[in-house]
This record gives sequence, C-alpha cells and structure tokens, in this order.
Amino acid sequence: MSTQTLPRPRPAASSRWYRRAAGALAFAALIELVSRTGLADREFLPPASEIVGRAVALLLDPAFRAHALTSLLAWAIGLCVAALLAVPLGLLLGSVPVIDAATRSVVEFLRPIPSVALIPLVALVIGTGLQHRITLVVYASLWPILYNTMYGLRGVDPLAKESLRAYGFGPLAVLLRVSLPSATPFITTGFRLAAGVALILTVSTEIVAGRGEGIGVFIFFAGIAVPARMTDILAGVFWVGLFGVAVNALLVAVERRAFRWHHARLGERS
Amino acid sequence: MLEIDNLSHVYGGGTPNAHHAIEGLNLSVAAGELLCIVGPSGCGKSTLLRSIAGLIQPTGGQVRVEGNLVRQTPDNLAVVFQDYSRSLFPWMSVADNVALPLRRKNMDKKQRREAAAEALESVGLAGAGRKYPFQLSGGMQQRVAIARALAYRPTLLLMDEPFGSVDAQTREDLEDLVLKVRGHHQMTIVLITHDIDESVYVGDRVVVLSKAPAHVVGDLKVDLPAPRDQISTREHPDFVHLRAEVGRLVRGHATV
Repeated sequence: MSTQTLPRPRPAASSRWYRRAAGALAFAALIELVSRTGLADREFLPPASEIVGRAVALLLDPAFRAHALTSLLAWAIGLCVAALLAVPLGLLLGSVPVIDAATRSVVEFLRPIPSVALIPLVALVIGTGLQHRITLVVYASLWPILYNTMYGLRGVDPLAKESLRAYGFGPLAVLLRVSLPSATPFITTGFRLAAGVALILTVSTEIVAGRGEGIGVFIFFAGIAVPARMTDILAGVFWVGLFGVAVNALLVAVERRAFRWHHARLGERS
Repeated sequence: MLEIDNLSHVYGGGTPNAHHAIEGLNLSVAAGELLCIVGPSGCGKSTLLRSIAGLIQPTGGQVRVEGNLVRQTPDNLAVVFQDYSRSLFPWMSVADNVALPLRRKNMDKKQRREAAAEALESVGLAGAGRKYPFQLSGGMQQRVAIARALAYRPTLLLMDEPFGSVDAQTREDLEDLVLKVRGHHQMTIVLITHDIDESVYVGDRVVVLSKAPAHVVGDLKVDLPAPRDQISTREHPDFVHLRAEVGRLVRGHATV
C-alpha cells in the first residue's frame, strides 16, 4: 500500500502571473505610444505613465483616500450582507423543493432586471447615502451567491448524505455537515463572482448619485469639470481595476488552497 | 438479532415500469453471526441492505433489529458502502471522518478523538489520521470507512460489497481484516457480496438470493476450521465443495 502522490495542478498558461503582467505592460506601452505620437488626442488619452503617476500621487491625497475608503466600505458591507442572506436562502431553496417552487416565479422575475437600472429608483426611495450603495450592492451580489449555493447543493453526492444518515443523523445535520461543506467550493466561486458585481455596482451607484464620497463620485467630478480632468478619471479607473484584479486573484488562491480535495476529486473524474 | 419477515420492495409501484426488487424475503440472523449474502448482480441486495439500515421504507413486510421494528436508522448500526471515495467526506481529515458519527454518542471531543485513533490503529492506519482521504490509496480509504464503522461500536455492521472496488491483493487483506476485527468486537455482521468465494471464505453462514425479485434460495452453514487462511482455507475440501454449492445456487442450478 502506498500513498498516492498527487501532481500539483499546473496552472493554465494564461493564468501564470508573469504572462499576465507582460500583457498588462504591453497594453500600457501601447497607450503610451498612441498618446505620445499624437495618434490619439492627449486630452482624451494621456500617456500611461502619466495615468499611473497620477494614480500613485492620488494615494498621498487625503481627499482621494477618503473617497476610496468610502467605496471600499460600501463594497465590503454590501458583499458580506449579500453572502449572509444568500447562503442560508440558497440552503433553504436548495433543500426544500416546495419553497423553491413557490418562490421560483418571483426569483425568475427579479433576476434578469439589470441592477444598474434600479439605481434611480432606490435613490428615490432611500436617498443617495451609503445605504443607497449598500442596498444595490446587496441586491446585485445576492444572485451569483444564491445560484451557486443552489447549484452546489444539487451536486451533493446522495451516497455521502446516506453515509451520514446511516449513522442516525437527521436531515438538518446532513444539510449542515454534508451538503453545506460539499457545496462550499461552488459557494466560494459565487462569492468571487459577486465580488466583481459588487464593485461594478458600488462605482456605478456613486457616479449616478454624483455627490458625497466615493471613487465613483471622484470620477464623476473629474468628468464634469471644464475641461474634463482625463488623467484623474483614468487614475480612478486604474485603482478600481487594480482592486478588482487583486480581489479576484486572492479569492482564486483561496479556492485553490482550501479546496484541494475538490480539485483532486475533479481530476480523478475527468 | 435481526429478523426479516416477508419483506417486499417495489420501486415505482403502480406504474408500468414498477420494479419488484424484493418479494417475500425471510431471514433471521443470530447475535454475533457473520452472515454473507450473495446473489446475482442487480438482484436487490442493496435494496435489502437499505431496508435493514432504515434508509428506505420497504413497501411490504417487516425488519426487526434487536426486536425493534425498523422505521428509521436503528441505533448501534453502522454501514460500510462499496464506494469509499463517495462515502468518506473529502473535506475532512481521516481522523475527523472516523470521529464524526461519534457525535451521536455521549462522548466529548477528547473521547471521540481517542476512539478514532484506536479504530484507525485496529485497521492498520495508525498515524494516517491527519491525512485527507484523497491522499490515500483505494484500499486505505476503505480501511478508513471500516474504522469509522468500528469506532462507532455497532452491534450490527452492514457491509455492501465492501471490497468490490479494490484490487485482488487488497481485497484479501481486507477480508482478513474483517475476520480479525469481528473477534475483537462482539458484532453481528451482514456482508453483501457478489463474490462466491469471498462469501464462503468470510462467512459463518451464506445466504443465496434469487434474481429480482429477490428471495432466499439457499442457506448454508460454513463450518471451516479457524483461523481461516487465504491459502489453506481455500484449498480445504469443504471450501471447494461449498463454493461449488453456492455457485450452483447463484446460477439457479441447485442440486439440493
């Protein structure tokens, strides 16, 4: 008897960090070139070096830091509230078919509505403060987590559930001790998708609100200035994008590490 | 210990596709007995096991364990399934897998951990507790599933083709493991298999089921010298005679 040695899953070529970094650098070089040669109007597309330089300088600006912190807060609170609502809801809908059937028409009606379309409506009802952003982030982030939870529950092995039932455990124990952990990789993927959606909603809501604090508000004011402060707009966009990439990479790393059993299992089946 | 009275089970009853898995099955198992149940593939062996374990409600007849009618899973019952890779929980360490069912018992965390370590040792996996199931070979994973059942100290242990998914050498090792542990713990064991040699080698008694709908077509006492041994037991004239007898019964050419 020997312990099986598992080959470490080799990341796909496209996900190796240095290739991705090279891609980003090439893109920056292209912008630099297009802008410096006058191919594009410098007013509309400043060179990449200027954008990044401005972005770094903004970090030292307390006003910008306050904007960034406000956005981060709305994003984080909204995402966490969404997860706290969506996972139990998903467990309920995924394990009690009667409730799932009864609520399906409502869910199917709400889901396709683009969350961005609700920004003005929610603003009218609850104003444009932090609660406005959080509400929309929660609403938009709910769906990926809810759907992935339900999807994960559908994939739970009936024999795994039976194995615990055979020791006399009831349905609730089976749900919490077998179904939930078994679905966790899917729930985490849902959370990662939701993190991206939450970022979109945070910034869009801020831009539409056009007042208070937030990176979106910063971008909005840079945009309505005459002349528009294009470098500021793009520096703001740079930080939002970098944040999104970093969060995604972090969660992918967590998924790889925490769910080695899941990936080992998928490898075995394929 | 275990009484099965006129058991029947129909899947999809009332529909044109109704499948009669079991019909009019009677069986009684004494305490401490190691009973092997053999039968042709798809004859309803697993349905029988699930009825005993209370995992399904049979459509007719009764199952009693220690005198109590089985309506839900009886206490002090453990099941080892064939497919270890699906019945072990991949997100838990081996030790946690073994200790989990003990939450049903009145044991604190330390006691559960000790019982798990002891059970792992008894199946030859001392020190593997911190590993995860996917890091073990198939035979070792099935040992973990057996350890999980042993740690629970069942009075009735059900095994559903427990060695059907491992290689021949590992299979013999695991057969001997079952013979070893039954001596240590006072358990009644019902082992389901489609392997005729295995049923005679492991069992005190072999019950042969018919094709579906399953009922008992043969009930043979196995009186082979103890301790059993993979080489000498299998060349013993009684072994050769019994396996031929069971083989005929399984194929439906009984001479008795």
